[in-house]
Amino acid sequence: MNRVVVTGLGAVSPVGQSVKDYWSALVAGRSGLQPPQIERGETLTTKLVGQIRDFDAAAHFDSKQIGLLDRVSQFAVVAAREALAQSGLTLTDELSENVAAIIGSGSGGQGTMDDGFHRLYAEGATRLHPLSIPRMMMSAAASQVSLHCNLKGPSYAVASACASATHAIGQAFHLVRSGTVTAALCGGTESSISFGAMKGWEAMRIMAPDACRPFSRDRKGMVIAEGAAVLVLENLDHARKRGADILAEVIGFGMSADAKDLTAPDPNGMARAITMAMKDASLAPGDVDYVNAHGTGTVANDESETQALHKSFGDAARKLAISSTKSVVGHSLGAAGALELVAVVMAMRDAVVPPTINYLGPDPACDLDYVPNEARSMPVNAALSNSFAFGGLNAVLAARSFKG
Amino acid sequence: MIADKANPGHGEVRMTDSLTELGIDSLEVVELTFLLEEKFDVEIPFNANSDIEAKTVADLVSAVEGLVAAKAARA
Repeated sequence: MNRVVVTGLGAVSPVGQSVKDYWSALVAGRSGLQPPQIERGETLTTKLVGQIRDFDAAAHFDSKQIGLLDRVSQFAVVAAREALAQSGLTLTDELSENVAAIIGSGSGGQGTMDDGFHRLYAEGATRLHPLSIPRMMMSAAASQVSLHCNLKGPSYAVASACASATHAIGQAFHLVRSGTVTAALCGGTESSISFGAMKGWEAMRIMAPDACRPFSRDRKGMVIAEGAAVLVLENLDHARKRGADILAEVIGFGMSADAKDLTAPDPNGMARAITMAMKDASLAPGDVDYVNAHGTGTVANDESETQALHKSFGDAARKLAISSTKSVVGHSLGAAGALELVAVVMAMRDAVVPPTINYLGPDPACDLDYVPNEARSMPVNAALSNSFAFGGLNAVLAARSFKG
Repeated sequence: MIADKANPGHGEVRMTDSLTELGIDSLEVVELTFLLEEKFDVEIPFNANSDIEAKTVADLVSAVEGLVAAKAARA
């Protein structure tokens, strides 16, 4: 089996459209959550979202390209370009056939769908734009990353709601580890802050009216966000040979399904995914320094995730630094796991763990160390990134700092 | 409507039954709220992350009655 390292990172988020800006906002605990600005959204009651208000598509794509790209694909391509540039990979004909593009998304081209269906149902239009289907299809972002970056290896989308990006990165990890490909661009993207989708979220009655405060007492729910992140995973030998700057190593992946409830989380299913990732990575509970939690800010998730960490770590759970970066950027659903793995890699690089902001004080059901409100300087040698989706689909990645 | 969400075989739904005893979980409370809002054209404000105040069938019925009365008073 091949060792798999990270050689590039890219991010588009509500707090910055580059890894540098995203990461500095996470460490500073500078929230990107604001009241929504949504077309036709007058009847929405949502108080907060993580929108990327100043995303300028024209700065990244020419007018011909923009017509082909839903916003969800634009985010993915911008993040992929940043990651590929950082990796320094030169895509010769031969190499390009050995690089995968695996991109997760929870709901694909929602904006295209919402706008198109509004035209049909509300405005009485009789036809849709001819590119509606290729813009909105779930795999559009994966295709666009492949097209824009000239990647000719395996390419597909992975959908598992809020765990999509983590499953996508896990798939890419397996492809590089097994030697199927030399490298992979992988991650997730989401842009579903549309009138129709937000009405759906409002109906579930789980959105916070005040702030996203994961694991805190008086937390009132999650905040929907958009964004994308892409990582370059590469065969270690290949990265070494070309003298690449190795940012971290991906060492394990675990996944499970609860087979229990469509929306309620199950600590047992979560714990199985965590334990599987640690076993895959040959990590003992005491080896892990940091967990980037799923931490959505709902009462149910944060309590269940805490129980799952107790189950899988035993006494070592109390020594973990755990934080939810969703407190800063919100929950970008199918992109979340990738943005969070980027945070894990940066935490290793800079030896600083980003905080869980908006933390008011402990909830008896959440009794671990959530790095409240202030970033913490500490070495991070090994870490996990948790993603737990509606439908009981769990995915956990394990990474460690690269020491040769 | 409440009986439809109760566990099959529960039998007759009484005002004093608690929603939990009827096997109505939190997602079903959210669904019931939606159905009641649609049926009576009212808005029932609640966030599933806060404690659900309606513990029994009677709580739910009186909440809806109150909202319907308030709507009638406004009309």
